[in-house]
Amino acid sequence: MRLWVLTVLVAVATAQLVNRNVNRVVDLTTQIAKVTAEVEVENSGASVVSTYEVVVDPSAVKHLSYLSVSEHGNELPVRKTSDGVYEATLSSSLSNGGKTSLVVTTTFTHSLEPYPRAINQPDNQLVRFHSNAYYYSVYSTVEQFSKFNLGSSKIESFTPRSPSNKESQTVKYGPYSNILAKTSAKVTIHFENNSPFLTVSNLKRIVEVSHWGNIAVEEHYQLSHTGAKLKSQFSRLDFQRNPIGAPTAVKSFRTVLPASSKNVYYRDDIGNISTSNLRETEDANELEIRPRFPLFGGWQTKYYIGYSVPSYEMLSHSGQNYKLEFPFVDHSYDNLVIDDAEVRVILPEGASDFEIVYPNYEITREADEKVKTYLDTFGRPVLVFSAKNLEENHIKNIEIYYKFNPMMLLQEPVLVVIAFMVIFTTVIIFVRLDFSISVDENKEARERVAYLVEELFNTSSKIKSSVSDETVEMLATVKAKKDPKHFKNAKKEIDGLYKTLTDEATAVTKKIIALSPTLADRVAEFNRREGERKALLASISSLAEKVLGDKVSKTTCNEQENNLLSKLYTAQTAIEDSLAAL
Amino acid sequence: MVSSSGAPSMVEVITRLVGEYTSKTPQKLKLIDAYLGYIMFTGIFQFVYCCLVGTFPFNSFLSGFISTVASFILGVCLRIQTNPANVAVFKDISVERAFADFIFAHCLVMTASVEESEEVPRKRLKFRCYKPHDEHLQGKQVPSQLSFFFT
Amino acid sequence: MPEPVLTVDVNGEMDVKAKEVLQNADSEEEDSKAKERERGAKGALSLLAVIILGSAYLVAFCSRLFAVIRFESIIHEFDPWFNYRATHHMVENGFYNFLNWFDSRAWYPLGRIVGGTVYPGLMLTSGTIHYILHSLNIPFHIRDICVFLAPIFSGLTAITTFLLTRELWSTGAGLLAACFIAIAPGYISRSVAGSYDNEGIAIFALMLTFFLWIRAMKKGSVTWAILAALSYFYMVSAWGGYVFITNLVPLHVLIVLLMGRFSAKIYISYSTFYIVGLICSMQVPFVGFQPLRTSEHMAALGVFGLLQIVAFLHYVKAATTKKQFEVLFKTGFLISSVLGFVLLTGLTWAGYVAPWSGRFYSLWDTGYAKIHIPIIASVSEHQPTTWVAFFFDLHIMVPLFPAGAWICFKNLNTERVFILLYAVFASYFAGVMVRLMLTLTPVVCILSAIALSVIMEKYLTKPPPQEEQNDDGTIVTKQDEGSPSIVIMTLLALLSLFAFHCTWITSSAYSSPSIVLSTGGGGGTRHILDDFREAYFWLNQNTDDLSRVMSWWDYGYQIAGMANRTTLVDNNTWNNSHIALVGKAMASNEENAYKIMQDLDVDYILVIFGGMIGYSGDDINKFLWMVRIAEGEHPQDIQEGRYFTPEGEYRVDGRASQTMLDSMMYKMCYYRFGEVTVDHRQPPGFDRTRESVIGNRDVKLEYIEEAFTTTNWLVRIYKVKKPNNRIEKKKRRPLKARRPRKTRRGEKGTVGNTVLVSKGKKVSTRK
Repeated sequence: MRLWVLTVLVAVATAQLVNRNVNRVVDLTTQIAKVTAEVEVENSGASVVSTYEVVVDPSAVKHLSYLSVSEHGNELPVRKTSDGVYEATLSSSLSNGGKTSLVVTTTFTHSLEPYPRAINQPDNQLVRFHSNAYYYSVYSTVEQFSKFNLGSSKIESFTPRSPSNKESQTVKYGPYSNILAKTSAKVTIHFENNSPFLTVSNLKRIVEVSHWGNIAVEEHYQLSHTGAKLKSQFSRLDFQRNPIGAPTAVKSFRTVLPASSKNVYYRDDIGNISTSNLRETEDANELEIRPRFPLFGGWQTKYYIGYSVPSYEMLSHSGQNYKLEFPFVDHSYDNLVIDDAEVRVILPEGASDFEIVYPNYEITREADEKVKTYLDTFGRPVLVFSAKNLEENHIKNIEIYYKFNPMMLLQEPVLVVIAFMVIFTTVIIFVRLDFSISVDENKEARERVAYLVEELFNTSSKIKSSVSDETVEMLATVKAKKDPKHFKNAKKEIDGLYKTLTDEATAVTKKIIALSPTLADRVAEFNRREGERKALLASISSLAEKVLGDKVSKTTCNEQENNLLSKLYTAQTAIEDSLAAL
Repeated sequence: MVSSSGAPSMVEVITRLVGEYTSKTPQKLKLIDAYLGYIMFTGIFQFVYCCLVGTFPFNSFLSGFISTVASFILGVCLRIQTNPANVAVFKDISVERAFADFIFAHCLVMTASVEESEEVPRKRLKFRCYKPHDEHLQGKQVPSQLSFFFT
Repeated sequence: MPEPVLTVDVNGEMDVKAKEVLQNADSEEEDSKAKERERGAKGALSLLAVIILGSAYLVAFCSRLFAVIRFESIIHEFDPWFNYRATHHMVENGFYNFLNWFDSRAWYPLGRIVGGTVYPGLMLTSGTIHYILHSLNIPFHIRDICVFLAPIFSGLTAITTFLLTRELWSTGAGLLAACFIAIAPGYISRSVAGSYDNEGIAIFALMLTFFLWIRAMKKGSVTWAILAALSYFYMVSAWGGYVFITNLVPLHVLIVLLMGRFSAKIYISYSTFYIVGLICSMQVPFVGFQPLRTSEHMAALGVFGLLQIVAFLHYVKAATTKKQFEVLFKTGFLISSVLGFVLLTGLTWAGYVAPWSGRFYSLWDTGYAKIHIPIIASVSEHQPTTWVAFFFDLHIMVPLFPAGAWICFKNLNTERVFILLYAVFASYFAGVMVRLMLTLTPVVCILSAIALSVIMEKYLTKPPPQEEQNDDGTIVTKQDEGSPSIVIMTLLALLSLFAFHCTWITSSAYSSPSIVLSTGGGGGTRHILDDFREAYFWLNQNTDDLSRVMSWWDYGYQIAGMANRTTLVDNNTWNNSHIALVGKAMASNEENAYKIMQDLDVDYILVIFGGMIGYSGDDINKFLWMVRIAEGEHPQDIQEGRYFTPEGEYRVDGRASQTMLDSMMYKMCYYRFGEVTVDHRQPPGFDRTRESVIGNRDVKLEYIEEAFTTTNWLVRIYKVKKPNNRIEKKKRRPLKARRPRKTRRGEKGTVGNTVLVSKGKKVSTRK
């Protein structure tokens, strides 16, 4: 019942608009069928009409990939009402007698069927295209004309429907007059099409956003050649000898990357692929990719490319609100066909409150995931989107809005600092713990004794450097100058210093004896040698006095000096030895 | 007791040995010796049993026997390291340290033995009858990898 | 210093215990003198040592990275691909599943029990590192870990060599040894980044085991011996060359015993090491019961038994008189040696103890492998070493190494006996097989470091001032000014030459991934030939997942690793007959080969052909080995002589024999090659590698067809055609099964109950 009412209404509504003139151009030069229909619409009914309905031939609906309606160059909002039926809202409603001209663009993927299905290496590829001679519409068409651009002059056959004729690279159908709504006349064109029939059967695009200034994009492709299958063997000789001898083979294609992309890599599962060329131009970077082997019909390959883009290209923010805008799919090669696309957006840790503005085609949002990479604690949020049956016209931007606290940016450096601090603290604590199995009672005492011996050594060397060397020097100056006042001052200084140092030494030796009585005899030895040195120093100073008082001659003075000096030297080495023995 | 007429007999030697042992060795070492004797007895018992009953499963015999040998060796090491006559040789290994080593080594040996004895069911189950394609190789030299099939 | 304990017995001889103590006192004095020397600047020295060791680690790591920088981070050669695949499997499926892994995609249709025929140490190490990094959320891919594992462990080898040399000589020598082994080309050749093979970690485990063994022997403590046993366990799990340790350490103990240097420390360290090492090594599934069953391990067992006996005798000797001891000793020795010998021979003869396996036997009898096991002989790494190779790999260490050995010999103690034994045996083995240059390199580094250290110490330190009597009776101190500067300058120049040589060798000879070839184009540009990966990736993407690829065993691991397809034979070479079958298929004509390929369910055949670019490692050059191996198994069908020209040469041009021209290998390599003009100066069909025009320029294939050839014709893949449709003969009407007219129901048949039949008499079956 409801259906009948609807059809009546539709009939009433559709009865109003009429396609005055349709000029349809079907572009079949590449693997995608692009239909551009210039329609002049007139409102022949009484009421005002504000929408134009576009319907796609039911036999071709499953290949429909893109549909757009534009009026005078401005794209109109199109809404899908049911499968294959779309409704475009006109910019200004049409009253009775109002006219406007629209351009309806539709593209179909996988609609060119290779026939024969398998060919040999040097053969050309022939494809069949099933279409409609008339412009399929819910409105009646007064005048229409269709032109099929084939791109090749070799046309095997086409269904004739008068008036139809073929010219050098086109097949023309029409003009037809007064065709009623929803009439279809099946035509098939069988022609040669050697353009590359590449399809991305699976695309996985990963966009990783880092607020430190870098956005990394990585795309994983599963690429297959969907043209006529290669029937027999692949002969490398024929392929190399005659570069154009294999018309359907795909040797290379061009990927366009954003202009500011850098660190581009092109790899697959087993390593880097070296056959690629990167050309940097002003607008974009062109990466010419050559797969490891040429792709023939039925062959497939897999690879991934990646690049880095500075974040200011795609990311903008105000306060804590961030906006990420990037193309959902990028220009992978000319006449791109993607069967299945999955886009994952990895946002930094701590991002939340996501809002998404989709481009105007169907994108499904899958469940959010979490991923953990370097220096992550609770994982980064991953937004997953998927779409099917995409082609070049779907290269449009998607916008993602989220909130992010800038303090979270510091989480990574702070983590590293804390880790190092923990390591250092642990080592500091461990080194000071005592892990010995058996308690060594003497160890502490021995350590103390060693420390005291060290002190004694220092004192003794101080004595040597300050007192004895000074004394010797004093003697020399006295010999040279004979200044009594200077001599007296020096002597007083030296005596005072010597006294303090010997007092220190005695105190230390007493402590040593107290702690370990076994070392008593060695300490006594040390004391004895100290005493010797003292005596020697006293005799040196007395000699100096004598010299001062001119009581000795030069030669005797020198003799005695040498004597005393050598004895002093031996005494000092003896002291050092005795200390070492301790 | 030295007999004054030429080479002494075995009996005299052994009596002398036994006498020296009972008189000169300290109590602690005799305790360790008793433990070593017990270990040796278990080892010999296992070996004799294996000779009588057969070597299947070889794993369990090996793990048991080797663990007795290992315990014996570790006991001997402990004895040597704690013998007061050897203090000059082992200056930086105190008695406590020797015992700690003994315990640590035993933990390791026991773990290894348990692992060894557990390997049997796994090995047998996974070894299906995939006879190599080369029956005529039986007479020739067997590469070492292939010897696994024959164990 | 402790007072020596002397007990003098009746005959006036010193007791054994005292000797021990005095010996220890000797080494103690040395130790304390060394300590005194270092006392003054101890802190500064240890910082310097740490810095030098750190730099040695860095240098060792960085000088192995040439291939990664020039090409990419990829696994090299052939064997590492299997190790990588096994590691990948372990990371994906867990350790338990790895130990129990049965690989049905190798050695079709036999399969391979991977868990029991592989040394798991390498995979375990990478797997552990991968696990630790991933639990810290550092997402390294397992391939990168595998590629960089060898450089990481080579740095660790430098550190353990330092520790070992410090035990043997001094810290200075240790640092020199660490620096030497960091850049020695003999070690770099097997441990560049990308060479993911057992030797990368095995040498580290070897040095570690040796260091711990020497430490254990010096200290006589059970802990160190246990650590040495654990390190030995790690070595057993890592490499088949662990047999070297298993025989060297007992030999060392034996020599020490023969030198009369028996002490309690040796007993403790070796007994603990042996028994714990034994039970640990049997945990590795591949080793299994071999330590008790093969001749290679019998020496260790023998020395173990001997040591017990010697220790017991030692203990007894302390308690008896000399004469009594002699009696005991003689009888005991006689009985035990006779018993031991009889037992061992009996067990070997009865088959309980297996004789020396082929791989190790060929080290003694070098001609053995060529006759009996041609597979072992065909591997290029198993050829004898040339003189040039020694200099190539060791440079100035070649003259320094005997000098170091002599110095050790002059200042002999227990540890230095070990290093001398290691030096002698390693030199012998390195002379037999190129591959074993690897085990020689560490000991050469150590001994040359010792020699260099001694020279430098002599010429760098100032001798103490000599006191001389002057003419007038006074004592004057004189400083001896030698001419040290010339010697030091020469040594420094030699060392810098050494560093330059090592780096140059590493860069030019040992840093090629061999999976990616590169040629220098005109003007310095590098032209990369990536044919192998092109072919393997094509196989991966464009063939059915279950299809089987036949190729020569060299490429089996690579096909399994990169193309992920089932292979027939691979580098494990455990089944000689299967390899011989493949060889027979390659060497026979198309019809016979097709029968074999149908038997083996082969879908694709892969051959390597270097005639287009002049690559000399291709299958035509290996073809004779295929023929020889096939002949070993099928002497009636394949005879090597038939593949030569009547003059006895191996040629591929017009003078080649008909069998050669008809063989599958020839046809597959040269299919349509006769139409190719490689060089404009030569006629079409000119084979660049063999430098001759091929004999049959018009090869026709009947049973196979070309599936894929790579850009430079390096890899050629052929598809085996399915059999032709059979022509069915007209069917006759099927005969109906007729029942016999007289049916006797209820009668028993005669299957179970045999009936006695006598001629002429009717048999009644009624019962």
